[in-house]
Amino acid sequence: MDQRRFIEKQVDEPYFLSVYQEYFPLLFNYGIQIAGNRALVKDAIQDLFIELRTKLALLQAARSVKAYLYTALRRKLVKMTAEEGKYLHLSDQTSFEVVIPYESSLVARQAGDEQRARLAIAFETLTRRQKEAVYLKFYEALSYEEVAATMQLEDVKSARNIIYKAIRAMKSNMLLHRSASFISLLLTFIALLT
Amino acid sequence: MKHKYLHYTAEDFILDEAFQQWVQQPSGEQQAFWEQFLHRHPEKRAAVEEARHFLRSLAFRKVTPTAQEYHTVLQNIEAGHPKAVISANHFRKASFWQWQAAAALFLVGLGTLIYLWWVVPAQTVTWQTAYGEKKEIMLPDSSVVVLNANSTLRYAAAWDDRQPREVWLAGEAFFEVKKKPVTSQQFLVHASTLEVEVLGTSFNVNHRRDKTQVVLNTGKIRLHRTDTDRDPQNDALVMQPGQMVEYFEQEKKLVQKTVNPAAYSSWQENVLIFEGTCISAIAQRLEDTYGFRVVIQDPSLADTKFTATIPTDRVETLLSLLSELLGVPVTQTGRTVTIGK
Repeated sequence: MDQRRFIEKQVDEPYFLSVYQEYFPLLFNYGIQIAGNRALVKDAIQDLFIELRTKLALLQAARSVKAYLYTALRRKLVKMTAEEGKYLHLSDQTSFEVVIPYESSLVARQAGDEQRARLAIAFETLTRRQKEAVYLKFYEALSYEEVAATMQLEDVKSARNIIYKAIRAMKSNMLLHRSASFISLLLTFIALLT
Repeated sequence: MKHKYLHYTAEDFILDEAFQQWVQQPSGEQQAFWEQFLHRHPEKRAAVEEARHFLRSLAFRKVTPTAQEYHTVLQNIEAGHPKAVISANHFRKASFWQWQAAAALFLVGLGTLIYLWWVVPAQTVTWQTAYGEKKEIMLPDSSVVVLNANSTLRYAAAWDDRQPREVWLAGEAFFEVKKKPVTSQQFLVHASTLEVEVLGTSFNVNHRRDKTQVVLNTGKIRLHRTDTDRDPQNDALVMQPGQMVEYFEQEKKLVQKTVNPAAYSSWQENVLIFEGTCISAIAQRLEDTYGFRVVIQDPSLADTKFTATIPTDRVETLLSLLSELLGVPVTQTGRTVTIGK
């Protein structure tokens, strides 16, 4: 108890700064995916870190710093936007957008673009929860346990299920388009050769 | 481990955490493991490549904060200003010092308003007459007020052309109001809960003992009741010259009569005019104007009405003339006047 009080009083500045330095850009990016509004996200992060300063011991005790921070930020943003009744509206329009990265080689670009365009279309068909879970799992590289904690799911199994169903949905959606795109890919090759 | 992966489809690889780690953040150990696996099981290469490609293709729109955003938020955190925003519109909560500043500004503003609304106009002129004393007063607009004995008149020291001219009367006074044809600026006499609105004129106001009596000599005036429980539909009355209105505060009753207005303002010329006046009214007049306590000993006088003009220059003359008029002795002992016996 005495030790905990000591930790609460004394802010470990170097540690605090290192957490901020490492996680501010990550939290910012994640926050934008959820809420879409820069000012809102900055305010939420600011509040989060102010609260965190007095509770660094909790952070140090957390199994995953990233999951702890993501969970706290998500909770804050959901509360802030939900109280405005804008959560669904905001996130449906702006959240978790799959983009097509640039490939240097033309052929790889042609082939890759096809694949990625199908992926992006398939991703768009997912529900908001599925999108967020896929984002946290495959982009943020959180473990299933961390995804469950961040999204406040019942257990790790639920996280696995959401992601499994999301991948199945995406794959089947992409397969539907494969035959059509295979022909277009062939045509592209022929065009390039002639 | 190897055994498990032999039955994996591309989908299974995508969902496998070890596989994900290899694609996302490969370590030397994982690299060696998966190279060895593909070497031994080339039939799995297609599935592995597909899964790898899927995971690599899942690129999300990345939003990077600016250096300024990074530093501003850090500074705010170190200053410890919680945002506590519950709003997408960004109405931010004011900090403590902002509240203090707002409170200070509010108090200064309030103080100024109180000063302008109450203190400045409250710089008033008050005239008060003793028993038996009369005073002629010229108001700031050069209207003339003759204040009768035992009366008080109060008004603002400076009158604004845009505001109604207002005086407050307790007791009795005669007004000769200067007309303001250009601005038609109102002139208001407040006598207890009765308000006399003057439309350029001369009149007498007498407010004594819960009764306000207004007698109009010339011009036109409008009376307003100002008591709080008045009937808003029926609170005003326009008077014509020669009319008298009496307002009884207890009964909340307005009584209108036609009178000789000179009789009611004759006190100005040091004359009391009685025209069919009963003894109690005469007694009241003596009490109100001279501060006597009047005792009527002869009950037979109660129903008699008197008509007379009595000079009031000297109290002794007044009392002896009264005695003559009433036909009974009128004696003064100190402040008490006894009628009858």
